[in-house]
Amino acid sequence: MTLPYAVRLVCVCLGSFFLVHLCLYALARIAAPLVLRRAERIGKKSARAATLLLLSLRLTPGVVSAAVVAALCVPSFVSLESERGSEAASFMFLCAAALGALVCGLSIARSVRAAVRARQCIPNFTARFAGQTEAVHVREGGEPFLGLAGAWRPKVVMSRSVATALDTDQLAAALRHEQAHRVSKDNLKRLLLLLSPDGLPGIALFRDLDRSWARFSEWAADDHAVAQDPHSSLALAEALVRVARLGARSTPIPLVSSFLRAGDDIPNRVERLLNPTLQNGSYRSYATGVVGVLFLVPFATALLAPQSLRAVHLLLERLMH
Amino acid sequence: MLHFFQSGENPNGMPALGPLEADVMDVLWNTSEANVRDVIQHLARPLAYTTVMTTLDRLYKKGLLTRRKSERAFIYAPRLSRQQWEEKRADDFFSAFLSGPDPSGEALISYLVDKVGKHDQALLDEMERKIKIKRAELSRREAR
Repeated sequence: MTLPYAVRLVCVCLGSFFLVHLCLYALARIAAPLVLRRAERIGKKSARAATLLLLSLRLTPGVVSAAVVAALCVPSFVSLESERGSEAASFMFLCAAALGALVCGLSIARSVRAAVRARQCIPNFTARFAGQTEAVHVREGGEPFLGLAGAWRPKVVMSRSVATALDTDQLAAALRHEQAHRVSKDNLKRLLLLLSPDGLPGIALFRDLDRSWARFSEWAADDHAVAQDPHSSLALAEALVRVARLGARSTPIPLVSSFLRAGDDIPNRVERLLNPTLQNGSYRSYATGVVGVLFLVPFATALLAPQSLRAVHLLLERLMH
Repeated sequence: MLHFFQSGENPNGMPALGPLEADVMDVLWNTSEANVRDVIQHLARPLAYTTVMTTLDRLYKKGLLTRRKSERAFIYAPRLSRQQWEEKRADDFFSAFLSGPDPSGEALISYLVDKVGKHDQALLDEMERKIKIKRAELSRREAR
C-alpha cells in the first residue's frame, strides 16, 4: 500500500511507539515480581515510597516509549525523509501502526469513561460539618460511601449515613485521610495508570501491581492523616471499623479513592494505626528519579549524538518496507 | 456441601497447610525472605531448629517457597505473595466444588455470603476490642 508523507509520519509515530512500548512492557513485566517484593518490604516502613516505586515501574514503558518517539523517531523522519511523493508501506508496518493506534485509543477511551463515571459520583449538594473548613459533597440516599472523586480538582463525597455514623473526631480523621489523597494527587496518578497503555490491545498484565499500588496509597493516606498522633490514629481506626459496619465497601471506580473498597485489607490498616511504630520509618525513593533519567536519555542521545538519527531512520526504513 | 466447606481439604489444587506451616508462611510473607534462625526468632512459640528446618524444607518441596544458598545456610522466600496464595486457594476451592457431581452454584453463593458476613462481623468486633484496649492504654499513659 502506498502512503503520502503525512500519513507515513503518523504511522511511524504509532508503529514505533507500539514496538518500543511492547519491548519495555515485557521487560517491566519481567521485573514486576522483584519490584512487588521490594515494595512489600519498604511499604512497611514507608508506604509512600512503595507507591512511588510501583508507580514508576508502571509508567516507565509508556513514558520512555513516548520519549523515544518524540526525541528520535519523529526528528529522524522529518529531517531525513523526502516529503515528495508517496511511498509503499509493508503489511507488518501497517499492523504495528494499527496496534499502536489501538492500544493508545483504548487507554484514552478507558480514561475518559473513568472521568465521566467519577463526575457522576459527585452530587451537587454540599455541606460543611462541625469543625471542618471545607465543604463536602453529600449524597442523601444510596449505598454508604466516603471517598475522593475526580482527577482534576477532586471532591470529597460522603453519604449522609456515613456522616451520621461517625462522631466529630472520627469524621475529622476520615476527612483528613481523603485530604491526604488529594495532597498526594492520588487520583491524578490513577488517571496516569489508566492512560498508560497495555502491551497488546486488551491484555493488561499489571493488575497485581495496580492492586498493590492502591493498597499502599491507602496506607500512605492513613499515615499522612494521623501524622503519628495516637489520638488521630485511634479515631481513624474507629472510623474505618464504623464505616465497614455500614457495609460501605464500594466496588472500585477507577478515578475515585474510596475510604473503604471491596476487598480492602481493613485488619492490616487498623493494625498499622494501632501500632504506629510500623509506620515510623522514612525511606528515600529514587524510583521517580530513575524514570526521569530514562525519559531524558532519548533526548540527550538526539542532542549529543545527532548521527543516531540516521541510524534510527535506517531502522524505520527497514520497518516501513 | 457443608462437609466440603468444613473439611479444609483441597483434593487437586494448592496443598493444604498445617498450623506450623501456616505460621512459618506468615513469617516469610512478613519478612520477604529468611533463614531458619530468622524464622525461629519471629515465631510466637519457641521451637527446635530441626523442626523449623524440616517445615521449611517441606514447604519448599510443596512448591510454596524458593530457596538459595548463602554461607552454608538456605535463605527461603515465598514463591507467591499472600494475596496470590489466597486467590489461588479460592480459585482451586471453587473449581473443585463446581467440578463435583451436581454442583449447586446458588447454594454455594448463599452459604458463602452468610459465612463471609459472620466472619466480617467477628473480625470487626475483634478490631473494635483492640481499639478499646489501645484507647484505655493511652488514657492510662496520659493520666500518669
